[in-house]
Amino acid sequence: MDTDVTMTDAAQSTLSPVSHAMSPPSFEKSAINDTQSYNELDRWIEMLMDCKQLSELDVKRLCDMAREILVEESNVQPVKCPVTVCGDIHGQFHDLMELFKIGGPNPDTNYLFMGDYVDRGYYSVETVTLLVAMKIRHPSRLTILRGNHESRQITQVYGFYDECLRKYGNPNVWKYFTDLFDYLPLTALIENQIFCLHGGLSPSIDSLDNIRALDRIQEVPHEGPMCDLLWSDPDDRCGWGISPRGAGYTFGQDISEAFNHKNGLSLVARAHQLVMEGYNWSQDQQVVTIFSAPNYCYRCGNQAAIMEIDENLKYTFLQFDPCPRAGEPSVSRRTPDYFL
Amino acid sequence: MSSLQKNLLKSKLSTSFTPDQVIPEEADHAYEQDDDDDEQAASDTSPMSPSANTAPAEFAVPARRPRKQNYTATPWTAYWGASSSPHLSTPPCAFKVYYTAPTPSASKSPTWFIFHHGAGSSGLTFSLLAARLHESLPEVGVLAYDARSHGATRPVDQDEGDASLDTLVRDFVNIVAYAMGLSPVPLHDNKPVEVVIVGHSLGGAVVTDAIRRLSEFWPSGDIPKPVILGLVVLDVVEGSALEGLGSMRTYLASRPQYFRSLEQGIRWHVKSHTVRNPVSASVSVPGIIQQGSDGRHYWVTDLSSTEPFWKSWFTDLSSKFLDARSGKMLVLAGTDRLDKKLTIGQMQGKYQLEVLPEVGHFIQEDAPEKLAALLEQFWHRNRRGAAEEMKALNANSHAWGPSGLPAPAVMPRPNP
Amino acid sequence: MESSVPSDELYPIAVLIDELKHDDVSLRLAAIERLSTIALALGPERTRSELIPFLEESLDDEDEVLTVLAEQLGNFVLYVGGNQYAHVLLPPLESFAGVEEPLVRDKAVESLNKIADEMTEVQVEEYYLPLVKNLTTADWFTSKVSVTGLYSSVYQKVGAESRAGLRQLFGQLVYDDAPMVRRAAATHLTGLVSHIDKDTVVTDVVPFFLYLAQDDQDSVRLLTVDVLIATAGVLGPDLVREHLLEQLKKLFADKSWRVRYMVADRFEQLAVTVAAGDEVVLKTHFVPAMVRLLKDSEAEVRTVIAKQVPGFCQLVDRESVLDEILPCIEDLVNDPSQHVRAALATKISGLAPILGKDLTIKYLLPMFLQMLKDEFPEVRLNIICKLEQVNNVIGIDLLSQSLLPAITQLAQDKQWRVRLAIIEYIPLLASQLGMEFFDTQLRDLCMTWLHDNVYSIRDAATENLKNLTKVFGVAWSKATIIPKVIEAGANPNYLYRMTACVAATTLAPVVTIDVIKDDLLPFLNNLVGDPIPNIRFSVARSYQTVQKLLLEKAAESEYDSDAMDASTPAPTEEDTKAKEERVAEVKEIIRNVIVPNLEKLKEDEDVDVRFFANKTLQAIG
Repeated sequence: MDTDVTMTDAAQSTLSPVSHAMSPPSFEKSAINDTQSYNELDRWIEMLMDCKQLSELDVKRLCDMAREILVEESNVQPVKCPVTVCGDIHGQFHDLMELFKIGGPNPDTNYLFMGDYVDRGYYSVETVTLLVAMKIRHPSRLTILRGNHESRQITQVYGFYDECLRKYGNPNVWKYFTDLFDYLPLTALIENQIFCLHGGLSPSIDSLDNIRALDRIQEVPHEGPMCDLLWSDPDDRCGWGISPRGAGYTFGQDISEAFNHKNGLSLVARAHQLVMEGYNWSQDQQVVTIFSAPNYCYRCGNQAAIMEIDENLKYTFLQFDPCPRAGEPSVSRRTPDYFL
Repeated sequence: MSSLQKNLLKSKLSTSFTPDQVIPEEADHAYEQDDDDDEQAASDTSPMSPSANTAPAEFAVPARRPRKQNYTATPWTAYWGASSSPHLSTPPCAFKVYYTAPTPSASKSPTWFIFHHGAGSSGLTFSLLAARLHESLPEVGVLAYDARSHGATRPVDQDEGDASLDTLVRDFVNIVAYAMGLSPVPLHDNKPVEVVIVGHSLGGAVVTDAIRRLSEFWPSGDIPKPVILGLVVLDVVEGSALEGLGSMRTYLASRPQYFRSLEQGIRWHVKSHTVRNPVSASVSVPGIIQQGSDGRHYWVTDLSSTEPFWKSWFTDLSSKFLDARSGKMLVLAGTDRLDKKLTIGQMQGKYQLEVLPEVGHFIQEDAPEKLAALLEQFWHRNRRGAAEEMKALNANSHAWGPSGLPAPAVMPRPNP
Repeated sequence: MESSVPSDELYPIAVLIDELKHDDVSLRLAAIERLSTIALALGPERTRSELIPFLEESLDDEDEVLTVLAEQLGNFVLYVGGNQYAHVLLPPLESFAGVEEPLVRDKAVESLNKIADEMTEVQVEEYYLPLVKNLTTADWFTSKVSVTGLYSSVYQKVGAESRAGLRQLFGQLVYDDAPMVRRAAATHLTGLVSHIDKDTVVTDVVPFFLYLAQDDQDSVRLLTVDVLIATAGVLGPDLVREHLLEQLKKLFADKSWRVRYMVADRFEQLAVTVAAGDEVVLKTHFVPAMVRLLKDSEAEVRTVIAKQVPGFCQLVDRESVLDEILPCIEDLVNDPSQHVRAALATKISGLAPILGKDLTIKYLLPMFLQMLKDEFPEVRLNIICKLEQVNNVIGIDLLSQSLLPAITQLAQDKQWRVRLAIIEYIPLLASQLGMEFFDTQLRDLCMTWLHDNVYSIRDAATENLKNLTKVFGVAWSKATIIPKVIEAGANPNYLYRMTACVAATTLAPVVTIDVIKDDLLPFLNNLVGDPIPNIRFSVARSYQTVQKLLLEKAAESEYDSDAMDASTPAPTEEDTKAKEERVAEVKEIIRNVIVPNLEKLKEDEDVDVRFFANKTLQAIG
């Protein structure tokens, strides 16, 4: 029967304290500099590109390696141009392959992903494993940020937890990844000009240094600056507003203009919201939204987009449609037994 | 993750081509399940035969553990402070209302949570939820009622059978007005009463429509209108509801027509997983079945007679929900029920979506504590006090911005 | 994964047995999953006398426990002491077959069928038939639905008398009031009928079929399409026509589109089994039915029937194809539903081999042209992907000439996959059209793909240039293609420079040493100083390919040949000497040009550049 615990309790009960001392000694930083590790990573990436999952043990090793790299990155991770900026993926593995077909393979093309790799799609495990493996293999060719779905609580509801359980028979892989998610950088800064993050601005943050000062190695909190960065949305109304999402805030053009001005930025690039054309300018081009999951949830009919920023900071948007697929489960909705 | 495995298996099994327009014949069947098996098992310990082979004696197969569930009914008084039967709305009904009034508070204006149940259910479906909510927020009043043709609500005249959305919405608005009179007096500083409206299933469609028709149906007189702080819809989505209509008759036909006793009715609801929480079933099921002259217990509401209205209840629900201007929360059991409009709306951040795992359609019964916690958080974010705090924040926020910003254009510019 | 799982022998049996009655579902579940271990420890006698009765009372447990239990019992014959005791497993499974949860019932039916296979005829008669009867005559529909799945396996086991009884019982299910039961009966009649002899099928099964095929529920009627196919398989053509044809005609014209969808989906199969090559039947019944379905009011029906067209047309005479079916196909080309058109596009080229060259040109080609211009990209793509079939029938000349305008238009299609499909056709077209025609009509197009904003198109463009070089030769390539590649290498965007770098590398295998030395290598050397690390490591990778090719080509006996096909004359001494000189020369190039550049890249500030430079240096040795 239902043990009536609140959502918060349920999430916390599976939440283990993150200990920095946890990483096993066998994976020191030097470990990923030898040819053997490179070969193994290349082998993993090859498997993952075929949508084949790694063994549970290999996922553990992968996450251990990734933590070593991510812990060194800043809350505001500096990124050089040229780079291709991408939004939500949500486990739509085949559409991620389509994205690489459009934008080019990594490491040849540099990428910056702004979070939400897991949940909702059918291949969260393969998607996030691949991106993390690529990150380790070529850390300076790929930047991965944290989205609001890179969280223990959200993944228990929207599919990643269930998928791990289904594909591995136990929740260990989910635990390895969600523990790793705590280390993902919150934001990135391209050539000191384009500020990239998953959600949006926070009333508790007025400068990039405020963000740098956050202790990010933790589960995404329910409120506060770290939560806002991953949850907020731009809005047509001025000022700060209560977000209808139930977390984060809405911010108006006055807010983004002030923020960009104060921090010497030309643009805030963010994801988090579905936009039918795949990208959408707002707030007098202070803010751009990029969404990279075409036909989101296999039903929304939206295009996806990526933003190519070249070495002269010139940007081009490439839109794309879902990859044609045969044999993938079509949207089969469970008809409820009773609903009147 | 039991429900997960089940869904997995189900999805494997449901791949074959199965058109869904099924019109089963009526089958007159009752649900009668004896509890004898449990009792027998409890008393029947398998003796060890001494001549038995290889296995050592301590490997005795145990007697079946008595896992007997109590299916006795619980009275509504266990969860609600009061009940009344006001005559309201058109055509008039004596509505059975269950409520617990807000505890008077010197500093806070009163808030009501007003609940509307789904078709075939009754106000008592919210018993555990409402009690839990009032327990943690005493300044909040809770009220649920039996809709017309449901539970203990009875028509004043003989008029029966109008289950149109208009009528149900008019009823609901009248109930909201009635609740205003139940608030403890005097009202704090003449501040308007704040209301959160919560609807389950069909009730979700009713409360969503009511929010835009409050003025239209508000009774004449001098009852002040409340502020609707929030709209909460429990486990109903236009797309899946309309899709599911096709199999509704099959569902109804596969239900027992009557039960031998009230306990059998409660037992069936639990065993068929209609309600997964036996504690809740023991108070909610007595609201939906009643004893006939032959001693059997029949369904109070003849759901199949409402069939002509089914489609109109849910049509446009998603748009109406997205257009509602109050705070909005949709709580679903299981993740896969959003239709296209709501998926887009959710991904654009237009409302709060919560998905509760491991609960059935009757979320309020299966997970009253979790849902109460969600409603509490929702209320905290959306209450008027929160909006005032936000205003203060905006007044200060320009402190760090550059001075003399031009008034921003509201409309985003077209793409370059 | 690495944690040691206790082996079956070591796991304390007592603990497992305790867990069978534990309050925690997951522990009960785990214990049930290891039921065979418990049974093995208890031995067959106690398994029969204690464990099975205990399990029989589990009916009250959670569905997920019951599901696993029902499954486990199917493999339990061994543990209760072998075949002669198989029947003790029946009572619990009989209960499980009647529960509300379909998953449990399905597993129970699966297990009951497994057990039936292991029972003797006597056992079946004594224990199994009563079970079938109980379930068939149960009050609750769940049992009746379950039992429909048991008849097929039990029917084969018993004698003639019991068989008659079983057929009669099955009839009760066919005539049941509840549509769920009739649906289940229709579903399983398909399997059952194959075990029944021809005469009995006529007397007993045909009435079942006719009853179900006239059911007022379309969900029952549509299931009878497969029953009909299975029944026809037993009866043979003459009896089929006598008993089933009339009903089939009604199904063809059923008022429910779901039923018509089903017959449309099985159309070719129906034609094969029912008409069995009889031209008259095909012509009088099937051709008109196909025509009607092609004109069906529902797009779903037209979509599935469109896919049946080529297969069916192979069965019927050419006259019917031309006079009856082709006009309908012409209508479908303009069908309002894009899904119908897309389905037709995948199959329509299958008509070409049936029609032959002249008729294909006359009838199909105009349809292709129109579908190539369809507003829906999937239609265009489906046509292009199947052009090969048409090509085989009418030849590339005619195909390319009539399709060229459409193809140049599609080469600039908004959908990149359409562009890709066209690129893949270019080398074939080029070889057929000749250099002059190609240079004027298609060459510029090929170069624009190097600047496409979609990576996959740029990548395919480089491969295309390689294939064109194979077709038109190195001189042509050096004069027309390579300058364009070098030009692309100066693009301000690194992604296009990357394409140029890849194109140079891709071309290397099909050009001569001189071209590599004089054109491609200097171009690559230039990119060593590129400001973007991605270009620098791309060059480092290219060097590996290029140095390898240089050595290989130098060692080839046939040097400087335009056409790279080697007709190998015996090497003369002069040849050998020339070869040695060439090898020495390329080695010097590698040592003096490539290696120093790589040494420079080895010290690059970027880790990936250093990695690829090192890798290539290692390969050079």
